Amino acid sequence: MAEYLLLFIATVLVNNFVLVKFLGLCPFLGVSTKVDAAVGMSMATTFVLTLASAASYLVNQWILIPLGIEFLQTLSFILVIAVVVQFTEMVMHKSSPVLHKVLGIFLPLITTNCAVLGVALLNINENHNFIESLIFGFAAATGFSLVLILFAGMRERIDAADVPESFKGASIALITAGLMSLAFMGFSGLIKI
Amino acid sequence: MAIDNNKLSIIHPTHTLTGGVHLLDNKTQSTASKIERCPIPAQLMLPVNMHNGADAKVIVEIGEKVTKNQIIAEAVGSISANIHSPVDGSVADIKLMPVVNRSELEELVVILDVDRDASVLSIESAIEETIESTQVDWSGASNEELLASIEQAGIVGLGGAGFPTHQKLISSNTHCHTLLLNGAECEPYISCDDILMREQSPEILQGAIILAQILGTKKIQVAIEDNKPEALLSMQEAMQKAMKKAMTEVMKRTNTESVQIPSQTNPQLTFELINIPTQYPSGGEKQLIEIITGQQIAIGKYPASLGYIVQNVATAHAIYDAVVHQQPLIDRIVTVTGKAVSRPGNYQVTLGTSIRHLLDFAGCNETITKTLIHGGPMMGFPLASADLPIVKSSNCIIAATETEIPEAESERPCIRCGQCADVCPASLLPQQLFWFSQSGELNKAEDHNIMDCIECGACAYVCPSQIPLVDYYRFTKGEIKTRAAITEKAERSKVRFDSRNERLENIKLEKARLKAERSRLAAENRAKKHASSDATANGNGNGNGDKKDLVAEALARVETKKKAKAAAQLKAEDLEDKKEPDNQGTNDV
Amino acid sequence: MLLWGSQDSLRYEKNYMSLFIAILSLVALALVFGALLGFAAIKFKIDGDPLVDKIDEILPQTQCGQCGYPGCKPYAEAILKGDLINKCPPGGEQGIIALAELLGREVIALDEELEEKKQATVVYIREADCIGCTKCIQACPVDAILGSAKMMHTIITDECTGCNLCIPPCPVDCIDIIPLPITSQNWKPPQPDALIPVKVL
Repeated sequence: MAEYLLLFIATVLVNNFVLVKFLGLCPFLGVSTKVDAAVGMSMATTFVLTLASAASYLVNQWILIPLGIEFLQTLSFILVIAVVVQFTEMVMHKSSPVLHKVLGIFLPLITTNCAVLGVALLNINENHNFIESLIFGFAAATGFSLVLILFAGMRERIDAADVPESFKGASIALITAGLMSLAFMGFSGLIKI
Repeated sequence: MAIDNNKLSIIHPTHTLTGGVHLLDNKTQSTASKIERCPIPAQLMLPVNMHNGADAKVIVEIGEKVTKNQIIAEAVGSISANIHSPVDGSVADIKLMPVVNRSELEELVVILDVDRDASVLSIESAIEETIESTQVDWSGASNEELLASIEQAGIVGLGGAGFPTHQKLISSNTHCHTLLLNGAECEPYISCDDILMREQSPEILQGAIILAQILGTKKIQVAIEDNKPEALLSMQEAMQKAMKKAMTEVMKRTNTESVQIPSQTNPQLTFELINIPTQYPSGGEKQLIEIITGQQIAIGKYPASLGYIVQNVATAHAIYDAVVHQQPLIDRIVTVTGKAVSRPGNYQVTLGTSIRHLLDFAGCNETITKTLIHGGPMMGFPLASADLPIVKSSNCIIAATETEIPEAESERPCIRCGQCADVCPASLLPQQLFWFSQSGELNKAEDHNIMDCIECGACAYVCPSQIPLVDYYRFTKGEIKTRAAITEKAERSKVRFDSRNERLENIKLEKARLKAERSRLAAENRAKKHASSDATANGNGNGNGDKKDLVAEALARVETKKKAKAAAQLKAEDLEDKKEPDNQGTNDV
Repeated sequence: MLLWGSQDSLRYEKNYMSLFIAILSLVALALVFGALLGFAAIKFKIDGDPLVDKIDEILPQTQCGQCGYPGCKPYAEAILKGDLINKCPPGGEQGIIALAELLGREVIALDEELEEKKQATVVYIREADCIGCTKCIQACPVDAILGSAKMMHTIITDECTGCNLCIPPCPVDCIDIIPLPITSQNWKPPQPDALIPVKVL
């Protein structure tokens, strides 16, 4: 039980997927202009990540390993992720069309989000069991959501502030992201895994 | 009868104002002398809008003679007030003129020529008139009658906002337990309420008693800042007298020997005098209640939600004048102050008096006057000229010299020090509101409750970068209101467009129906004719008869067609005419 | 490579087998997932598009027809089908920006052929010249003209949207365009300083 909690906290803060591992930067910068969009994206990514993490583990455990075709991990994981994302898009289009329009192209781009594939592959690397894979996926998504929403909040404030002309837009956003990353790296040493 | 002679104890509240700033009073210049009566000039200019609400409608014509206290403009709608003629005279002109307002827009003004013979010109006759004026016993009057007097008299909030008083009283739906008289007068320079309380506290309390009867409240509280010790004393004495009088009546009724002061046994009314610490802006309605009760009024709610109703002391005095002396609102006390004025003080000024006339009377030196401010230094605004009339909301005129109010420094960038948030009395986030105003983010500004800003100016006062914060907030509030108005109009336009389309559809359908009806009738006729012509044809058996019948049939068809068309036309026109009145809406063109 | 060359036949066979298994399992997986998605596509099918209402809310409801459509709702439907968002002069730049934000499209300048409305206007009938022909009443898309045949016509100023559709039909040219009168009720306090332009990535 304690290990699961440790795994969760470590993945959310110490080894944060966006600011420490630098995975999933595309939606991080693309959807963080408004807090509402960021919240919607976080929920979508959490759903996809957790589901994909579990599904990938199962595919690996029940199909790839017994048949001895582990070399097909990357390919089959991408297949799993693509399906989950497509499914999520359909559900979202039906339940919340506004959010669907707001997220726009970034929703199907979760397929190519390296964080999702990263979680799936890291599960294999770290030899996680099913529960650990699930927690790892969920924790990665929570870390992603935390950082995305924080960053969106900051960007909204920056947009209204007196930023010098040459820094407006992407420049100040990336500088801020870098500073956030420095801050989050301060968490290392919090927990030793 | 033995009455305990303890002095009425003054309550000091334990709660304090959130935020707020300490400002130099600058009130002693104008409180050294008693209220002086400013003589009435030869002409009075009365704007039709001296209140918060819709313009009053002028009911007199140019050249018409008017008498004192006659209504010259009637209130329009529920949020409006009557305008009365303060003198005997005649209407010289009714035209658009610059008046006292921030926008510097011209508004409709009724200009009266004052009848020199019959009017009050000297101070002595003014005093005489007050003594000789009517005194009405209002104790038997019903609440409706009292409210009607207040409405008739055109009384509005004299603390500055100018909201029609009768509407405020009617709108306090929930039963209020306390009437709070606002004698705080927290803004520097202004001292009209102070002087009124020093000289006319009994009358103010009478007005409060009338209000309490209308509202059905049992407690009357008067709040006064501690920089007004004379006013506190005067109000204390007046309260004691009022309570003694009430006690005497109770004793008469109950036949008892002695009653204690303050009386909890008096089932009628309790009086409380509250001394609040001097701070700006403790005189704001919501801020005052927070100081007294420690509770904040929720966003979008009014003091009535906590059971309080707040009135300015001058408004209470005006109510007394209206009910007891049958005198409508035709004059008010105005503080005239500033270094350019040689006789600063408080003047009883007839509404419509030109500010220039008032300043001349007070000895204002025009050459050294740099700015003329209407209102106080925090919430007032500069006037472009002195030839504007005194209105119901004119509490103070400051004729400031160069040194008294220096030129505003230019705005510098915000350094995010947060001092503005420390002093905001409404617990808002002025810095955030500033950024949202700057970047035009109206939604975020509204979410951060910019509409609750009381525009007190404390934030702008403390800002080290000299940013005119309140100007930004006023601008943003204007934008938000405009946007809401545009959206509401767009909704209305959409509804009108849709109902117009529906109406046109209906007309089309009706036409089609009539056409179908016509052709059905024609077919029936044809069938009948055919049947009868068959019979005759069989009877006659000649081709000529057939041809004649065919012709007759054709003629009959044309006849029916013509008749049906005429009928349909009439019906369609009827429909159109019937539908037109439905789309009238408000026709205020 | 050398190692590969020196495989014994058994392993060689096993490699073919493993390749076959790999392909088969991937295909099977793909088929299963495809079926799942197909099922989901049918179950989560939506008809119509509630976005039309959202677009219509942004449009100013002037119903002037300058966009080429008979009203704001038809234009909203057209935008959803793919028409350009820069055809509405009464909406102005604000309207284009709002539409762009809602639909995730680029902000483009107002169509050059259409003039932007600089100031809110209403129309006014010069009653001395009006002949009571009702042509303007029939033209007004929001029924903001009061009148009847051979009776005086007048504009209901509060309802007039400034679309100016009543002006061409008038045979005696008695309708004037006047700027919306600014009164103390609709006066806006002025802008204190230049606003910061907000740049969104």
